[in-house]
Amino acid sequence: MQERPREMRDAELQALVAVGDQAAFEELYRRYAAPAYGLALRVLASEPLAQDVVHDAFLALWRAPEAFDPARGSFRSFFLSLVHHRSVDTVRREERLRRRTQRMNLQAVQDEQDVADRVAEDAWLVDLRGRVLKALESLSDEQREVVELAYFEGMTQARIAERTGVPLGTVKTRTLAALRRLRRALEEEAE
Amino acid sequence: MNGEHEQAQELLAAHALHALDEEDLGTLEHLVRTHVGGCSECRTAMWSFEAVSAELALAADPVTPPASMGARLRRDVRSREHVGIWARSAVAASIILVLTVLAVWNAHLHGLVSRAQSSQQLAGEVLDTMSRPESRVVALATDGTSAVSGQVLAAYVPGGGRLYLVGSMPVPEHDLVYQVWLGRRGNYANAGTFVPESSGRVLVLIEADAAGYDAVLITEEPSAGSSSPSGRHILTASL
Repeated sequence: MQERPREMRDAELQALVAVGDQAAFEELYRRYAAPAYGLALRVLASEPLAQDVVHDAFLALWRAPEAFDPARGSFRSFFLSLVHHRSVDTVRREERLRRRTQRMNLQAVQDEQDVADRVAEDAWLVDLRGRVLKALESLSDEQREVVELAYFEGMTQARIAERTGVPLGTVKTRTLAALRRLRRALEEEAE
Repeated sequence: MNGEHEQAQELLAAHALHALDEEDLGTLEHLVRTHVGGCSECRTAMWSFEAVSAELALAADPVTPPASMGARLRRDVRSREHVGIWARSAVAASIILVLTVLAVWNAHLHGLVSRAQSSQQLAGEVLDTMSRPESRVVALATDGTSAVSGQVLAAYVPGGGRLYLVGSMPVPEHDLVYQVWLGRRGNYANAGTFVPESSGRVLVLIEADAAGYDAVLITEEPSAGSSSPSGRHILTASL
């Protein structure tokens, strides 16, 4: 029998969560805790804050699961976007986190965890991640820099202009060019 | 206009990365009303940029969270009511519909009301607000003077500076809009006007601290809005 698309199975789990199925919630946690925590940790560079963000995002999912609509995109996109937005909001509130001297070594963070399991990523997630990384590699250094600073460090474009010394208008045009190129690269990878 | 089109695309790209400051967000709000809403290329760009942004999440190295976080989450899941807010609400079904099929770009929003955002992001904000233990959610009801029906919830976190109205209302007649008022001891302040999308769905963001008010009121007013509540009272609630 042909395997059903991955996103459909996520959506099915989410539908079960909507009626209070804790086992389904556990499975979604198993699938997305590591990508979500990795994302939050990268943006926030703080274990406690990243844990709070991911914990609160999962709890929000449990308490109001109807906010996700399968018709508007995948559960993965919805949930990781939620984690990203919460992370960026938090990093902007906690401006002190921006000080690069305090940025932690992510490898050290992993070593200190009370669970030091290797992340056993599902194969489909590994594949998707590979496509995204490849798409990022297709960017010029300047384009990749604005994406990194905006998405992974939570900077506004004005802040990026300050940080890099590049005119704001240039930051904007580079961002647009980067998103267009990423879109094209991801489309090509999917074909 | 080509310049406006390119500017909109730039701002939509930055918006997808959550990288706009307040000034540019205001510019994007304006462009949504004047250009993006009627430009299929920009609407397509908006959704595709957001899809790209969502995929970027996977570029971060996955990291197994500590077992203590999972344990805390399981403890909280067991102790907290599942979908409590929604289940208690008499208008839950309509709100769920709003959050799941929302298309903010079709709504016309003016004044202090609203912020141009994608449906998923705004839905995420509402989800975030309503899931906070300290949040307050009240159902607006008719005061009996109007035949116009509607099912709307007001949701906010005291001190959070944001009040969301979500639900469904009939689209008002031509040249009429709904106007939101925030009341304090019988005095009402204008919080802006809005028109639901054609299906009647409503999702409105009011940038005000609801904790400073004791009532919210929606009236029907001329399209330019009114300086005080003068039209039909449609829905109201105590805050």
